Amino acid sequence: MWGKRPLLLLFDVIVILLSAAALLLICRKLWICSLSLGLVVSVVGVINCVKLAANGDNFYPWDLSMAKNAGQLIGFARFDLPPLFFVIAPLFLLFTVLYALVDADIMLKWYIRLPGACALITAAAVIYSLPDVSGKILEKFGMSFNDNVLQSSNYHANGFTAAFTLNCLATKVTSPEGYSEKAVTDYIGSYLNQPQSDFAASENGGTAPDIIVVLSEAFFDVRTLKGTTFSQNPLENFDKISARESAYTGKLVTTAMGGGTVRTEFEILTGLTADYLVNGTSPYMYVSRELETSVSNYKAQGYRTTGIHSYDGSFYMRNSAYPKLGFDEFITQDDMEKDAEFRRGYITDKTLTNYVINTLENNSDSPNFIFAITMENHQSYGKTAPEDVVVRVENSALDGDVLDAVTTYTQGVYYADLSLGRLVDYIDSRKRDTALLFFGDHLPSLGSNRLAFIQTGTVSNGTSYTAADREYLYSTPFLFYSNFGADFESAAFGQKKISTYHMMPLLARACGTEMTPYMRYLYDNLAEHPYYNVRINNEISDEGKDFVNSLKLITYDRVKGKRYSLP
Amino acid sequence: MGIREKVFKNRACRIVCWSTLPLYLFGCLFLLEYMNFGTAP
Repeated sequence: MWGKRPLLLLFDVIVILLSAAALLLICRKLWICSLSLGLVVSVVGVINCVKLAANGDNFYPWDLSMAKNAGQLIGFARFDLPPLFFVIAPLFLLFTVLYALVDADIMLKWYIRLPGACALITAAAVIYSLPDVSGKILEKFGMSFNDNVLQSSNYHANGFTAAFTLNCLATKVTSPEGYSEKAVTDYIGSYLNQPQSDFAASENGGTAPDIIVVLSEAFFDVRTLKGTTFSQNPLENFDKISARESAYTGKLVTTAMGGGTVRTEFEILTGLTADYLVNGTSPYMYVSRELETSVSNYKAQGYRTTGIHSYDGSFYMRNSAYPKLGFDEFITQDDMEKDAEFRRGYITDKTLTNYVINTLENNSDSPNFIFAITMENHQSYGKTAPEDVVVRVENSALDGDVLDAVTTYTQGVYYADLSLGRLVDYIDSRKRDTALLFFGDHLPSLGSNRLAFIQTGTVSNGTSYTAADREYLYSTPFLFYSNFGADFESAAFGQKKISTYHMMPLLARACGTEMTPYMRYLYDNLAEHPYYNVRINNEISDEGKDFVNSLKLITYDRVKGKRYSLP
Repeated sequence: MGIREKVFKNRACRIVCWSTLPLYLFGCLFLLEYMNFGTAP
């Protein structure tokens, strides 16, 4: 690792040097510094090693909050420690004894040492409190906050010291200006004080329909790439279903582009905004306690809540977060592999749809809420073998490799569309009331740096995106559908561009399921403030700005704050 | 003067101590990464 990435070694050396310097300045005696450092390193190393052996997870900074469980882990330790540990750890002790015998110390007066230590600690605190600055520092050493979206690769690629430090820096969520109990309750207090019956189901005669929400990886209308022709319509089913009276379609305004599924997902499920969390981190890393979400809301209404994802369950830390969001069960790639179909190395949408249908069939004794995340059309989009091309794509404006990317992506859209058609056919065949929300999480980055969009003239060059460009790049299609005539259009007040955080209240309203006070608050703002996020930075009224501020405060309140916004 | 003062508390030993500190710190780094990867980083 260090041989291939010398900058990483430099980063690690700086971290350990600064830690040792701070300790030395505080303790003065070399042996106290070496003993403390040696102990911390040994204990952390052992915990990391044992955790890896026990459940495949590394040691994260937020594990410190669960220190009381450390004993359980250490219980496994004696069998799992690698042999060199028993050489190096005693050497630490030997060195420390030598340092103590020599009584080596730094010959500085306390009035120089202590301010020096304070200066070091303050500098670290300042860097921690300024995510923009820490992000730039990480970049200098070839790292990024994005690295922590999958912790296993973070610790594998960056090593323990750098990955742990990166995670420490990423935990910083600053309290927004003006955050207080009064500020939060000024926005949502009237909803919290209403009797719960005011939020009860009404529109659907009190029955409990099954709810299916499908996040389709990178799904967007590829036909909007200017000047592009297709040998057949890759979105045939989407078009047909959209044209039905019982369907409602529009644009979902997201905060992700090219990647960052978890941002869209987090906003959909929680009704919060990821705009003010550290850029590039998984919002789930902040979910250390139970969180009120649409999922927990359905669970409270007697629903069986199931998450389904045809990929690694630890990706974006979903496996640890989902139980806290209210999911009863999380079905992942590990559960699917035995009977899965693969394409381009990913489990297909067809397989995922099978699991959605099976979940509904196997749990028919209770209403179901299913949140399914597809994977088949995930990047990267290399060249598809000619015999595998179902929909041929042509556009003379595209470079060869970019056209390859668009072609490969289009095949994925075609298969996603097939699965959508099959799922809707299944919904139509059911006797039980069933509603579907299907949406794309973000646009794909076709070619490096959005080249397909630029070369086709669909958006202007990346350095000068217009407001229209930004809206295009941060909008994906959504489709509501039901087999019981839910009136999505009325529930949406006819809005065609809607932010992520509004979607679940809208769905609940149209289906007549109960809403939490916060969902009702969001819903009451849908008509006037249908969409905004900092990425598209669309113009909004002063009232709109106030609503956005409320999202900012409530997000912080629920993620890191005092939770004044809960009933 | 005790044995400790005679043998250890002198300039030469202090120089040895401080010169081994970088090795000690590198050992800390090495141990963290070794425990992470199960092999030398």
